[in-house]
Parts: sequence; C-alpha cells; structure tokens
Amino acid sequence: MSYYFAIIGTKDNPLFEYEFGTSKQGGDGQPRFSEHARHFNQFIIHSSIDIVEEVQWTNGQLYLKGIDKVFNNYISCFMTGGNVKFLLLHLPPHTGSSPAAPSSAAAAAQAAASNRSSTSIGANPGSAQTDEAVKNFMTEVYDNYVKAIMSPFYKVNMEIKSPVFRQRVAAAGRKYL
Amino acid sequence: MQPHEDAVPSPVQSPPMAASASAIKRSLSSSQQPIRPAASPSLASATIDDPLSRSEFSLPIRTNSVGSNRRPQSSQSASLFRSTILGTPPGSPRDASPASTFRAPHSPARALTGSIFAGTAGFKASLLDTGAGENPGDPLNLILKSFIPHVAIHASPDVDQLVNQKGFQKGLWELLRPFGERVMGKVNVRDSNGVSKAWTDFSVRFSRFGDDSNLVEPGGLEGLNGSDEKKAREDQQLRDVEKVVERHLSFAEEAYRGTIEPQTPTRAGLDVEATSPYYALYLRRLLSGMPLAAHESFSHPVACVMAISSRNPNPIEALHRLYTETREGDKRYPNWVDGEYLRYYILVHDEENSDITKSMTLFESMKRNFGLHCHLLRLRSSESAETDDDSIPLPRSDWMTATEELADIEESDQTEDFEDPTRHIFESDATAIRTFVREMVTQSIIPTMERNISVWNNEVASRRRGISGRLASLSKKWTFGSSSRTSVSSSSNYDPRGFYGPETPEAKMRRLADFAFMLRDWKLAMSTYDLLRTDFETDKAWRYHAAANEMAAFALLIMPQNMSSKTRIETINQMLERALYSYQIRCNSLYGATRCVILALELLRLRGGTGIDEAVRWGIRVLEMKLMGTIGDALLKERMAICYASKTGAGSQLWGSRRRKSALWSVMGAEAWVAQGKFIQAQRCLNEARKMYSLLPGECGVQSFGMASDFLAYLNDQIKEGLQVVDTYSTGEGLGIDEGEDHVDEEAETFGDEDTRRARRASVMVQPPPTAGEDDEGDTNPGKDGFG
Repeated sequence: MSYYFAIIGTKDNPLFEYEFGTSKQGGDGQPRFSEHARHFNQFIIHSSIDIVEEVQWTNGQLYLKGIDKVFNNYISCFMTGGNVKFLLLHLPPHTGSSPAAPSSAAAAAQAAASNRSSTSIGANPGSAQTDEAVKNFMTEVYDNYVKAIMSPFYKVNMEIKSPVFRQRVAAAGRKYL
Repeated sequence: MQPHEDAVPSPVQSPPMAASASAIKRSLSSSQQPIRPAASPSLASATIDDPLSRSEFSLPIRTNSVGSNRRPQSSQSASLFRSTILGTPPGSPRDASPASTFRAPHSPARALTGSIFAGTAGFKASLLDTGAGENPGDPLNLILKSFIPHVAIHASPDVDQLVNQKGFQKGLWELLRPFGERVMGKVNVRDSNGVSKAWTDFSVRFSRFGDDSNLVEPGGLEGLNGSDEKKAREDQQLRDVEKVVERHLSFAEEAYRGTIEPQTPTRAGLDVEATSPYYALYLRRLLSGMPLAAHESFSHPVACVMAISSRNPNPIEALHRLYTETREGDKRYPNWVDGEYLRYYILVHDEENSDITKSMTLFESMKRNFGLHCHLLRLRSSESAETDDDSIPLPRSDWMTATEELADIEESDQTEDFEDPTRHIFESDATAIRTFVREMVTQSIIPTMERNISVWNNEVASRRRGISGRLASLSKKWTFGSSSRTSVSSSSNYDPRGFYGPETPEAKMRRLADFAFMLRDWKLAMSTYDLLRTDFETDKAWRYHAAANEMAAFALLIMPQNMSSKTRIETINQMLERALYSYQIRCNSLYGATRCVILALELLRLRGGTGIDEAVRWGIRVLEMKLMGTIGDALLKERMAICYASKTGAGSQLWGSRRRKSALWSVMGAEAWVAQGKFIQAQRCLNEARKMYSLLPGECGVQSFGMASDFLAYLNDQIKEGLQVVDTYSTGEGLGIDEGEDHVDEEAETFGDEDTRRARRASVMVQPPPTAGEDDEGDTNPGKDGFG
C-alpha cells in the first residue's frame, strides 16, 4: 500500500506533496510507487479535481470520502475552508509495481483472497474502515495545516515548506494508515 | 451525375494547401472556445460546405512529386489507405444518390445530464433523434450500419464470367457490394405497432454465398472451455484489425516524413466532434468482421440473390440448380441457420451481346415460375476505362473485413507496379444497380422482414410475454429443475452441441429481436432480448446469454425511455457486466467482449451526463483486461480523452466538466503513441492536452506539478525528435518550444494575469534533466504498471 498525499491550492497548484507507505501490518512506511507512477500520480491527482468540483456540492461534510478511481488508484478528498483541497491517492499493494492483473477474474480472485487474508485498510481501499482511517488522518493533518498557515509569513497559495508540518503529516500517516 | 466526381477527389492529388490549413484552424477554433478568430473566414467558409473536408486536417499525404524520398508505388497504394486519409469514407454510389447531397447541420449530442449540474433531457429522446448518427464515421452511425440485413449472393458461372469481363475478379458480389452501403432514397419501415418511419440511410450488406471465412462453429463444451481453434480464429480477427490500423498509421507517418513543412500536423488537436479516422477505421473493421455464428443472427442471410445471365442457354434450369444448391449443396449454410430466407432471382442482361426482347420474354417466364421476387438487371459487358466519358469510379467497399484489407495491403507491398484497385463502371450500370438494390430492399426484403417479425411476434414472443408464458418458464425452472440436471436439459431446446435449432422458439425469438434491431424497432428488440436473457441463462447457453445481454444493452441505450437516468444506467451496467463475463470468462471470446464494451461505451458517451463517467469506467475495464493490442489501447486512450471532453459543464466555471480528466487521458494517449513511434498521433494528443490545460480556470494546468510538467516536456522532446523537426525556433529567442506551445500561450493570454503566465512559461521551458529523461525512457513501456 502506497500513498501520495497532496494539498492543492485554489489555482490547482500543489502546496504540499508527500509520498509514504503503510506502517500497519509490518509495513516499513516506504512508498512503493514505480518510477513511472510518480509523475502519473500528479496527473491523476490533478485530474481528480474535476470530480472534487462536482462532488463538493453534493455533500455537507468537509470529508468527501473516496471520490475517484483511476485504474487501481483510489482518491479520497477533504475540503478545507478557502477552497484548498487535501487529496490522498492510495494504491493497493498487489498491483504496486506489477502489471495489472491479466483478467478481471484473476483480479477478483486476488482481491477476494486479500480480503480474506488481511483486513488491513491498505488492501481494501473501498471499505468503511479505510474511509474512517483516512478521515482520522485528514482531520489530524487539517489541524496541523491550520496551525501551519497561521504563520504571519504565510500567504494564500504559497507552498508549505515547514519541516515541522511535514513531520506531523508523516506522523499522522504512521498513526492511521 | 457529376457531383461525385467532385466529391471523391483522387487521393493522389494533393489537396490545396489553403484548404487544409483552414481546416486546421477550424478544428482548433471549433473544439472548445473559439478564442482565436478564424484567420481566413472566406477560406473556411469555402471548405465548410464540402462534407469531405470535415477532417481534412488529418491529411498527411502529399503527392509523389513533393516527396521525393518515397517509394514509387506509394502514390498508387495511397488509394488503399483512402479511408483514413479522407475523413469521410468514399462512397460514390451514395454520394451520387440524391439523398446524400442533403446533409443535416451537424448537431452534436450534447445532453446535459450531470449528476447535479443536470438537465433532464438526456434519456428522454432516442439517440437517433439527437443527430449523433449522421456523420459517417461516427460510432453510432457505424453501429447502425453494421447491424444490418445480410444478403447472400449466389451467381451462376456465366454471370461471374460477364462480371469478370468488366474487371471484377470476384464476381457479381464484388460489383454489388459498394451499392449495398447506401440504399438510394428513403426507405419506409413499419414497426410492430404499425407506425411507419422513413430512413434515408438504410443499408444492406452483400456477402458471398458459401463464403465461410467468418464462420464460427458453436462448440458444445464451450461453457467450460472454448475450443482452441475457434479462439485462435477470433483472436486472429482482432489482430488483423490492429494490423490494418497499424498499416494505415505507418503509412501516414511515412508519408509525412520529409514531405511537409514541420508545423502542419503538429498544430491540430483532437477533434471532439469528428471521430478520429483511425478510431473509426478500427471500429469499422471490428464490426465488418461480424462472425457467422449460431448465437446471433445478424450475419445470417435475410435473403439470397440468385443470378443468371442472358447468356445462359438453360436459364430456368440454372435457377433451379442455384436454388437447390442453397438447400442441399456443399456450400449451404450450417444447419443452425434458418433455411427459410427469401430467395430473390435476377436476370443479368448483357446490353452489348444479347437481345433485349429475348431477355424480356425470359424475364416474364421467370416471374411466372418464381413469383414476384425477380429483377431484370441490365449491364454492359465491357470494361469501363477511367477515360470514358460516362465512367465513374467504383470505390472499394467500406465494410471489407480486416483480413481482406490486410491481404490487399500486403499484396501492394510485394508487387512492384501495384495496380490501383479502384475500378470504373459505366454510369448506366451504376444507375441500374442502384435501382435494383432499392427495389429489392423496399419491395422484397423489408416487407419480408416485417412479415416475419409480426408472425414470430404473434407465434412465439407474445405467448411468452403473457401470463401463461411466464408461468411456463417458471415451471420449467422449478418443477423439473429441482430434482436433477438431466430433467432440465430434457425440457430445454438447447442442443448439447452448442446451439438452438432454427425451429426452436428461442432461435426464432432471437431472430425476431435481431430483425427488429435491424429495422430499428428498438422497443420490440429490447423487450425480446430481455425475455431471451433469462431463457438462455436457465439453459446455460452462455454465448447466447452474452449476446442477448449485449444487444439488450445496446437497444436500451439507443431507444428513448422515461426511466430516470440512474436506474437506467444501473440496468445497462448489469447487462453489460453479464455480457462481458459470459463472453470473456465463460466463452473465452475476445471478439465478443471487445465489441460489446467498445460499442457500449460509445453509446454511453452519446448519452452524456453520468453516461460519460460510466463510459470511461468501461474503457478502463477494457484497458485493464488487455482485450486489445497496443494500437487499440492507444486509440482507446485517445477516445477516453474525447469522451471526457464532450462532457460540458454548467455555469461560468463549467462546473461538472471533465477537462482535467480529458487532459490526463490525452497525455496517456500521447505516451502510448510515442512508445509505438506514431508521432503524428502523439503530437495531436499532446496538443489536445495542452489546450485542455490552458482552458482551465486556474489556467496553469499541471505546470506547477514538477514531475508532471517535466514529463510533458519530455514527451514533447520525444515527439519533436520523432518528427525530425529539431526546433528551428530555439535559435531565435531561446524558446525551445514548438508552434503548438505558442498557440497555447496565445490562448492563455486572454485569461491570464502577467505573473502567472510568466511563471508558467518559465516552468514550461524547463527541460528535464538528462537523468530524468533516461529514467522515463525506461518507463514508457505501456503495461509496466497500472496505467497499462
């Protein structure tokens, strides 16, 4: 399970990007994106803004849950005040770097197998537990984000470079995902 | 009949530069926001009336005289690739017909049914009323023109001899084939409720009697594992389709090399309105290879034309012999094809060598012997040369199968002095054939089909629809089925060899539904397919089950209905899901699976709104399942971009549009094309992506994402290298960016404030560091990860 987390400003510009892996179930916290996936993660996150712009009006919550799926990448979104979006892309482990499963049956069987073998949130991107875990993660990041942008030197749409913030996001990732 | 001489320009002649340049401008300005004023309105309006100019910007072909480094015969073989060179498929019979001169103003199907930014009009109308099927090359049009009645042609040797003299080696079939592609004038069709409707674009497909090239034998055990041979055949078909498109692409690529000044094709983006000629070609070849199989009756003959000529010494006996051959000869159709198709008799009169009075007498006696389904076709027996006054070019059929076309192309590769396959016939012959086709279709074929529909509907289908029929099917399911499996199979009509005999109610109903679909009575087709779905499932006739689900979904998508779009999409998804599963897993039929999903996603796209998201979801399924080869994948990615681009938003911010998504798919398409060395296509995709990004409200696209914009720059470099237009601009102002980029900048200026634009320009100019470039190179292989 690999995650790519991005905070998107009001002009589709990334304010903060962070890649990490799962720390649950003995994960080492390292992302397992292939070299090719790394720039495509950015494309995918960017393209998901289209969906966010539509879904944000249907829901009273700030946390919009899973909003999009591109190939095997699942995207969850959290809206903040001021039209800044938190987007989290999760890539379940079994297709981490291998080509996509040859047939849907194999994929389904694999998915079923992994459902049985582990109930980890990493393996089940659509499940309610995952939603909950992502929500906790987002909320914690949000708290830290609000504190970070309270800095008097911060202006709208400025990149967040604070190492402290980065550490806290990493900690939240370790804690919940 | 002069017009089609103008309408079908020889592909070898170079189209005027001005025309293609203005077509490019039009394609740029028409696709989203006309930000650039059309530079030369007079030129644009000059070309706009010409239907052939619609996608002329995709014309990378120039004459031999310009391109000195090309092989000598390629100007000849250009005619082989005409279907992609000219956007509109060539078709002189139809272009010459009065109906085709009328072309309705193009009204794209832009149904506004976003999930919340929604209008409700989306599903109320039939897709045909939205005007989406009017362009040849449009997927809906292709679908309409592929599920059509098949007419077998069985000619006596003397007819074939006569036609051979005219230069058609494959006999009467080859001569008639292009004329079936559009039946002249309006064709009135009465639906099951007796409401008559006129269609101007009705067509039939002529096939050769006894031609078993597309025969797929049903397999008894296919429920468990499809037989290898059959699978190989179907796979071969898909591979041939890929190969044909590949050849067309390479031809364009090769013709482009060194012949045109750099920026001509590099400016064009994808056109949302017009289908890419390559994608259209892919679909057409996919659909033209419709197998003659037991589980669907589209390629079963609706009628068989039996032809004799006036040279025949014993005409009536000859006709009897032909008839007997369709009954019991070696070449007759397999036993699961209904043998009770219409027999149509024609007498080909040789205008030059035979006596017309004799032929008339003979024709009268034919009518007495065989009834009214007869026609006297008067043809000249000599070959028409191009230079003759009244000769017209007869185009190659649009609907030739991939295998045929591939054979033609390969032949043109091998022989040095390849002969132009275009044949010429006399104007009078063309008129005679057109009249014959029209008469046969309107007076014999359609009435027969209508009669069959009403007979079967009363005999079989309505009985099943009534209460008792439902009870019967229930009892069939439960009373016997509970005890053991054998009793189920004894009560079913499903032959263990893998088919339903033609006399069984199931086969009749399938034929009824197919006929209704061919005559565009969607409602009847849909309800019949729906009944069949459950029947076939009970019988575990999986191939039938898949096909019925597939067609039910198509009919449901095309017909108007007052269901909320959500329930409707759910129903459709369920049907498609079953069809796909049965085709792919249970029957191992790649062809069926591909056709089912590709057509469904096109129809969903035309439905607009949430249909578009669904369409892309299905597209991703296809990519993930690796149903198609690399060419198909790249075409599909390009298509997904167009899918998303055709979703319009609401309000000033265009809420609910999918421009970023569209751009993402364009980038993926460009990547896939670059990996295959098809740089023209790649450039087009990349331009489209840039255009989409520049239209965004934030107006900076992915430029502020470091790696993503590096990747775009990297793709751009690759394409430039591939097109051998190593930037002539870089010396000037240090702008290492090609024309396409300039164009984006110009557009951006209309939105932008100075700072962001400059920032973006700077970030665009960042060339990827060499190491990153190398990394990327290793990674552009499709299928390395989930983006496949």
